[in-house]
Amino acid sequence: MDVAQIIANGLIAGSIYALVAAGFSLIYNTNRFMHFAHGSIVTVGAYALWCGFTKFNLPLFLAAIFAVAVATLAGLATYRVVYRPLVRRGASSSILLIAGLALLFFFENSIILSFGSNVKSINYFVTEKGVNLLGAAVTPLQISIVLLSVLFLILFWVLMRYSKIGITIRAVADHSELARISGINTERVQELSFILGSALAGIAAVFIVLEQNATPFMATKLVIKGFSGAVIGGITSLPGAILGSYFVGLMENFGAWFLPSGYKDAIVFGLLIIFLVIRPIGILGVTKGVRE
Amino acid sequence: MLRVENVSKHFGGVAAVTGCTFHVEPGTVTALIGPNGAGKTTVFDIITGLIKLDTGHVFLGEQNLTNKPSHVVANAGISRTFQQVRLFRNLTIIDHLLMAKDNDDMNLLKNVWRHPPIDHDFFSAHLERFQLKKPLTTLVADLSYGQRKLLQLAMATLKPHHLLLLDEPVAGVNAVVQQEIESLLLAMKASPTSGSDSVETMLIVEHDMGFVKRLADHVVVMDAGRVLVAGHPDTALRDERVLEAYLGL
Amino acid sequence: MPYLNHLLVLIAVDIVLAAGLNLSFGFTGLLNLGHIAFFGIGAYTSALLTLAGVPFPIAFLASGCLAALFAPLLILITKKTKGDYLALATLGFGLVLHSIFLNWLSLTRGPLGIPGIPRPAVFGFVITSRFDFLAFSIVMAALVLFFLHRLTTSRYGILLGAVRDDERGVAMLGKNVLRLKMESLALAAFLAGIAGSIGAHYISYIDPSGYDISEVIFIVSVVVVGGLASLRGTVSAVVLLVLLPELLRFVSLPSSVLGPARQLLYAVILLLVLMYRPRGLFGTVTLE
Repeated sequence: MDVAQIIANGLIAGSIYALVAAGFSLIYNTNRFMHFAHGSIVTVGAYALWCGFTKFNLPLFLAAIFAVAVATLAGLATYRVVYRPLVRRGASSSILLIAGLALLFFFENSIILSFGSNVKSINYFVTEKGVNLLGAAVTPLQISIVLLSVLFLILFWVLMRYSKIGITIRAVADHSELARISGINTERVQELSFILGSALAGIAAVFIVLEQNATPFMATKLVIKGFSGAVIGGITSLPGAILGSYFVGLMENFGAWFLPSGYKDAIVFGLLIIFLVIRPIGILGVTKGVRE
Repeated sequence: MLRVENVSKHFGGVAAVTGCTFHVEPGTVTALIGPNGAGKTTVFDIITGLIKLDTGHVFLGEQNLTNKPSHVVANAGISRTFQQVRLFRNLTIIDHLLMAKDNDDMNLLKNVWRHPPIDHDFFSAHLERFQLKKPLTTLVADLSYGQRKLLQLAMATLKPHHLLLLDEPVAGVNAVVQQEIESLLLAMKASPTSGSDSVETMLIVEHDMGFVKRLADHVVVMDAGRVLVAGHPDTALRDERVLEAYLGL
Repeated sequence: MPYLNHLLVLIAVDIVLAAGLNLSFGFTGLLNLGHIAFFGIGAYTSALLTLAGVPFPIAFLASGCLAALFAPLLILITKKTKGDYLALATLGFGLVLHSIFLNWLSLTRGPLGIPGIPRPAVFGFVITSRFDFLAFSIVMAALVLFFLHRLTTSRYGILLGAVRDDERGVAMLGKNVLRLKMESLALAAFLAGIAGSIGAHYISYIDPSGYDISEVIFIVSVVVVGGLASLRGTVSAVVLLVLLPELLRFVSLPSSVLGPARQLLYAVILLLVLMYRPRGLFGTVTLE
């Protein structure tokens, strides 16, 4: 495999990780706990797409919208049903993390029991032939995935940067106490970040199913990669989380040069360790001028 | 005894402390005062190793404590209380006092092997000195805020120390407890606590000027991260720069 | 009755495993999601060493010690960051270890697993019968519980509780918090390691599927359901959570469904306990 191919594969994987990481860091920054079940929202979206397309015979475009809607609802439900009551009671972030872990296993095993543990694919672009792009063989689908991901991420960034909703969300992320005093309903904003983050996870789900397939077990790896991307890039910064995810995608594909592919996950973990030791705030992260 | 020399600290682009220098003499009570945001608690955090300084030095006697980890600073002989009381919510009063008393609890195997008896009388007597009339097995979650403040003080003084750093010891408690804490601190000047040397040396951050005048032998006035004036309370507090900083004249 | 005998050995092994997690998470506040990896390290170490001819007692201790060596590294890696990062770093560690068990073919034989792990021999006495093994595992679990009881009721145990409640407050008293955290996690990992050893020699066959990260849901459920910082709780919850899924066998579910159903059951119980009974059965502490 040559360098161009590795870069192409890295960008495709990175695009998906970036969508997951953007949602993960948004939810982390407004809620200040790790939404461990974020990967499960992707799984739910993936199975929704599969159901919509093969069971309800929806056209792909409608099935995709259905998948994003189901993922959004699932994310909202985790917040409403589990996280919010726990937060109101004053549960610590490690309790919330465990609740997320329980949700992850809840979704994973519910899906196995409902759909079986085998791989589900929709084979929409079966006969597609790769085109040669600067020496890398990529399918038009893969090119569209990268372009669409970038488009959605830019849209999301613009939303966060310039819209009233985005500014409110960032106010809560920067200083939730101050935001509360200035009359912002922080719970509402936290809920909103679950909605937005889960919608991004739903988009990632659509791309994953189109490009590969859906399995019940994809959530744990996705949440680890999304988290790694967010931490490496700087979890407090949206561009950082996106940059970090592409970095993770590229590095795991480069690493496959040296190590058997079974160690793909180990490479990401190694990267994460390096960053936790030398630069825990990440590439673009900032230490804010506030004390604990 | 304590020498803070030319200490500076920036958070991002904000200068929290700039070129701060002052000394604390043995056997005295020094008050560190100044308006909100003057950098007093930051100075405490730097001394106790919670925040790393950018430039400057901190010495306790001959020991260089600059940027040392918190536990090293504490073992060098600096005891500290916090403005917002920091206690361990799931533990009892006696648990707190035992931890403060000595570091015998740091050895894992020795502690599994031996459970030495606890000298309850000693701890009860110490609590009594601090006006905390509660059974030793009370959970701190069941104490009032004033009682927690007293327990914090009891711990800091029980811990072997050369210097006490007290961050707003009377903030947030009612007038009765304020009065109690003030007389306790005055009494400590006369008869030092069991953890201290033959004399008690204190550095106190406080806003109540009456309290400062009655207790302090020396004041250091900070504003916007710098030391404005240092000297005897009567003269320093009348300095026009101090009035300006406080009243914005 | 072999079935009951089997369940009791499982319970004894899981008590050692879960009591270790309760030490790090319940007593010290270190959320360690890679506990199952330490379990796996212990199992593989003991299996490979005894197959290479090393006497069981040495292999047994080595399995605990090797697991314990990794724990301080995880604390050091995350020392500059908040507690949540430890949870994810340990989870990542668990994933990496699992991929090593699966891919380091020359050492672990990968998915084929390691068969024929010898019966443990302690000072010339070979533990062969089911009943002997039951006695052995119960003695080990009892020793571990006794040790942990002594430890957690000592002043050192109080100190661990203080680390859980407020690290900075502990440092202000002149205690090296980093050292305490490393010791606590190392001891927890040691216990997981020896539990792995006992389990491997009992089943006499190991493969990576037994050390998959998804098994973590069981141990975490045990610690939370039993109650944080309660050894009595951990013992009760192990008994409860090992026996409860056994009921699923009697409603004649197909065997392919049993595994997921068991995990789903744990996830639901865990969520319900977190939401409606945060202290679990016998918990004494809360995390806020």
